Amino acid sequence: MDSVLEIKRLRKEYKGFTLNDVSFSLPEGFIMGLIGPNGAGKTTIIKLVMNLIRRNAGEIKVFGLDNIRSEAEIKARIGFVYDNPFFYDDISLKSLKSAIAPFYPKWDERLFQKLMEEFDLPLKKKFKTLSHGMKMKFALAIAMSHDADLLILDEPTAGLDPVFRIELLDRLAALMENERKSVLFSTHITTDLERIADYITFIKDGEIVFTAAKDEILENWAVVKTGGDRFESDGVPGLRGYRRSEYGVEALTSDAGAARQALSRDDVLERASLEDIMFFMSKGERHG
Amino acid sequence: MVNLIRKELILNRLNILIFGGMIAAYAVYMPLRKVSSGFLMVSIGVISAFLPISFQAREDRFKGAALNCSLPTSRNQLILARYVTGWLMMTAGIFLTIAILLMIPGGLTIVHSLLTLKSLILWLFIISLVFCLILPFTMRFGFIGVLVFLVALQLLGTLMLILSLMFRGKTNAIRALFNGISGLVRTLKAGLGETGFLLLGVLFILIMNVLSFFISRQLFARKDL
Amino acid sequence: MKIIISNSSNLPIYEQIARQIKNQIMSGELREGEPLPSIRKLAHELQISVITTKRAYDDLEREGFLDTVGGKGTFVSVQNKDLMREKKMKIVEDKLNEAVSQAKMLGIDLEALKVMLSLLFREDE
Repeated sequence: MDSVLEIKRLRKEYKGFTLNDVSFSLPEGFIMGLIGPNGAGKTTIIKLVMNLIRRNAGEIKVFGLDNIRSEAEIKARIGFVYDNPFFYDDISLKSLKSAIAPFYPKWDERLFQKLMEEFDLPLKKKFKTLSHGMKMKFALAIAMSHDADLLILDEPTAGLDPVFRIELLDRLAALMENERKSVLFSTHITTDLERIADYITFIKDGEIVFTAAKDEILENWAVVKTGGDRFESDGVPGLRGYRRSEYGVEALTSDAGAARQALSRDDVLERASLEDIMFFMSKGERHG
Repeated sequence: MVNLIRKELILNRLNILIFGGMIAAYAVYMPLRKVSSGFLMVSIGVISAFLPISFQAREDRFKGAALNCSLPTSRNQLILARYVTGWLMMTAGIFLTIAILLMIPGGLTIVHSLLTLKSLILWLFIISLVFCLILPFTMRFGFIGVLVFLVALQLLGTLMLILSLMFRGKTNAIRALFNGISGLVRTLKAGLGETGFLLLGVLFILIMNVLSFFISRQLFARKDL
Repeated sequence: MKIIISNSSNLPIYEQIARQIKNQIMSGELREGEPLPSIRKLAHELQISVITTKRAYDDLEREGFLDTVGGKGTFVSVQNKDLMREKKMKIVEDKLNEAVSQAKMLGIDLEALKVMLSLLFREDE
């Protein structure tokens, strides 16, 4: 199984922030969620892949090709939705499409028209007249109208109504029926990925915390709820973060198996959601 | 390339119309005021050189850089397109001016004086100067590069003034420099003859553009958008 | 084929799927040779990860319930009749074992148990 996106030891230095030694791969035919708190580096990674910014070190390969040397070739196969749609405000959707479509050899005009209809977007109106949700839908329509093999979505659901968010996930799920399509989806709304993501890469403070199959993560990570005293005396195996309240301690562990063995009668062990993982690892007090 | 040019034209339609209107207005207005063709060339040249520069302003405003980078093209192609589109706009400006002049009373004489090889080359030189100098600044700084350029120009002017004040008297180095340059131009003109000098002019225009292009390319290749 | 996934169950999703398919095969709802949706189609319909559906199918294949024919898809495998019967018997046996242990613990004798069994069996008739 080939990787559609391969990132090796990527590094980008900014004044107050460094993306450090980031490596992960997205195999062809799967959806990867890039999660992490705001400012963790998700958008930086995506900008580096799209060559919006220059890297300081490392390698980025898309479809097996270097992302800068074969830039035009690979971008013809990438559908890109940025979290702030980048279209000219005072131009109509129709004109925007005529400016963009010719760049893509596989542009499907019928599909585009169909999507515009399904998304209920007025072709003749100027871009600035659209609500934020409609702007994202337009960006999506464009990204999905040229048979792209890789969709890169940067926070596509932020600020969108729940109805469209679910619709988007449904469309992505439909897309994945084709085993040659892949999606990289960066978000801090983890519930979106909870079901349909195949792989999850978690970034925090510019570094990879983990990159693995989602099923594996949800199997191995758990939240243990136990009493404060027991927590103090016995601890929790595989502890990754915890939160104390007046009535007890909630602790995140990456070794659910061991934690299950060590459970006492009053303790509760629950599956950790991606949100739990993000929360405990970002905000929860660390142990030791 | 065609795609890139088409994109620029579609996205900046209004600007093109406005600038076209300005040029047309000038072309009508100037002869009525009986200004010299030289003045006409400079003013229209500067306006038409600023049209493609205004594209950069719009691009900055709407984050067009992100759009550019999502399209299947390379940074080098983007720069080349900026220059090619620029030249298309500027040549169109020249054609427009001449077309308008032909239609108004008294315009014919001006057209005659403009359509000499010497005038055309001078016109192209003026346009090139503005375009080729400013564009690299906009590559590096975005549209405010124009401001940076103007500020740099001001600083240069002030520096010259200070230097000339420092070196007062007949041995004024700055004056000597200027005299030297105009002397050189005259010598070249005399030595090469009219045509030779014009060819040199064309060569100079080409070199200016090529240099500007390469500098812009280097600046843009490294830029974080 | 009917699959219903519970998000609140502590059972991993792939196991929920595998169990439901297994039950339907054993009960005859899914017949031998019947084609199953591809793992990707199933993933789309259920709005879950492809890796999850693949795992469910892989597990079922390993246990002998499914066959994947390269290029054609996945089908309910021809069941060894005796083996099936044995498996079914085992499931009921386990349940009955539980009931017997409970009965003994609570002091219910064999006769009473037999009566209960008959009544329960006849309930839907």
